[in-house]
Amino acid sequence: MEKLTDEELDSVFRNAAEGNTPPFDPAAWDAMAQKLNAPRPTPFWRKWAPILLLGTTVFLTGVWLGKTSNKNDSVELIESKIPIEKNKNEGDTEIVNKSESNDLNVMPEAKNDVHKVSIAQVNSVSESRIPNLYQQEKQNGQKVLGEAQQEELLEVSGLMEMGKEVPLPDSLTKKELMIDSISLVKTTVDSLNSSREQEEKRDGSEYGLFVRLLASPDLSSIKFGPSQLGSNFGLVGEFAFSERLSVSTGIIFSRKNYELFEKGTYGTSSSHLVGACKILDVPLNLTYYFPSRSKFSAYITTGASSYLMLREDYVYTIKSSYGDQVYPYQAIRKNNEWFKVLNLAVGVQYKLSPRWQVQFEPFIKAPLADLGDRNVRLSSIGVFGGLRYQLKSKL
Amino acid sequence: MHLLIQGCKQNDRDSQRLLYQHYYSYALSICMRYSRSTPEAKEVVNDGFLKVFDKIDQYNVELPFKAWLRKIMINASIDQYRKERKYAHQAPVEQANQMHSQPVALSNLSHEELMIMVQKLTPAYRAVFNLYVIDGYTHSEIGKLLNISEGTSKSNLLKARENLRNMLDAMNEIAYGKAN
Repeated sequence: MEKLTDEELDSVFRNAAEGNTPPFDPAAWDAMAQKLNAPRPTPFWRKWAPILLLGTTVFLTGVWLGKTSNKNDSVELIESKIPIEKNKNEGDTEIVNKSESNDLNVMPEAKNDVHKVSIAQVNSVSESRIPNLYQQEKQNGQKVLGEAQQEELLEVSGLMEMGKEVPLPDSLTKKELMIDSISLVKTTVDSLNSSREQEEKRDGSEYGLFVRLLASPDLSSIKFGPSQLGSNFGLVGEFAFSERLSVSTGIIFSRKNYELFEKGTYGTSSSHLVGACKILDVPLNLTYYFPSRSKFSAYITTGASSYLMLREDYVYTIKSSYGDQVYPYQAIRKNNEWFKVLNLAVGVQYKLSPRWQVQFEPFIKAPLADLGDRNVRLSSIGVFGGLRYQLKSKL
Repeated sequence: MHLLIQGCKQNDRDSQRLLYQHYYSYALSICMRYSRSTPEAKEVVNDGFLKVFDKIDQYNVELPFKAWLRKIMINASIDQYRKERKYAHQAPVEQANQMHSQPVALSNLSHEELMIMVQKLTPAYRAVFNLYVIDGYTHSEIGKLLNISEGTSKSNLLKARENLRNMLDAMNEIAYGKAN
């Protein structure tokens, strides 16, 4: 037979395709109806939604708690206009204006309007602080108030301490007395701020370098299919570049075992994949530590991992009308998957000593792309238990 | 037809059944070309119809339904091809010589027998041959659809044609051999 040209060959098969009309299979609709009645697979993002929601809730709660804590600790300045008596001579105002221009580090609120006097609302000042501060004023060589005015000022400060808004009495608003009272309020503010800073530093969220030793069970699966127990062991370095934020990276040796069943409607072309992988997981994460006053504190971590596939063992079985076909396959150091896995974790830590913390960290590793030699969307969950050690505080 | 589609839009099971029965053979004829066996093709047909019923709201009634259905069936077949490629690229796919050749001359070959030949091609050759020769896609479109280069698409087409020619020759040799 003469060889067919491409056009002739195409034409033969095109006509055959158009003329081929397989008969209707009465059983086909039953299979279709079964498929229509079956619950639809949940989209990938929806499966993760509860976990993401939980993480977001924890994060927002932490942020809110942090803000609430900051509010309680800080000094809230409220401006209140004090009517200047009309019978005061204008000279007074001029003197105040002059004093203001001397830039005595008076608070901006007070600077903006000489007719305004700052009134402080102080919530948590120790009882002895006000007299001490007052004495400090004296030592600094600033203006000294008369005894009656001292008493008045202390009385006002006491009321401020109880959280009340108090207009300064007239005697304290005059000339340099006003400056004194403003300076006093400012000093109180500074003192409170520095006290808060010190307390924050005591709660375990210092700057510096840390190392973390981690271990966890690992449950890996494809499309939330069956999974077998694996494990993770790792050493991670962490650099806290602010009081609340840190970046970390390291090496986690991971064993991931998983399976995938895919069954066809007719049950004749199902497939089964069994995978066992040894992976070096190299994470690059950002962690936010929530403010805390106790030894317990919470944190949230996100970032991406690179998987360096050390060894991949697969057995793939296809059940078809031709019979079962089994394909074992192995890949050694063949694939490196750079930043293809999203890391999400919410953790709590307990401070054992100034340098040591123990951590408990549930995590999710969600694939951002196909992974490994079989191009699988491998996700993992687990709970890291870890020890965190502070190498160096303050760089 | 319009009423059937309206019924399907309202998720009416009887309308879905009638539409399915009406277009089943046509859908199966498409999916069989892309599959390696009839059971697999039937499975792909049902995957395709599931998409049809899920996305029937997106169907523009001014366009022919058959063309829309054809596109969905081709896409469902390509999805199956991707799945096959993903998990079983180690599978021994050079099955051309394993064909149970019948001693029949080309002119006497039925449409079904010719389609079985197409099914015997490797998944990659089969996909490109069907998309280019029968469904009229360009190499550029095929490249994007199958995530391969245009060059690979052309090369796969050449090899697919070569394999089909070999299968036809083998059949003829057997036919003539038996006749003599």
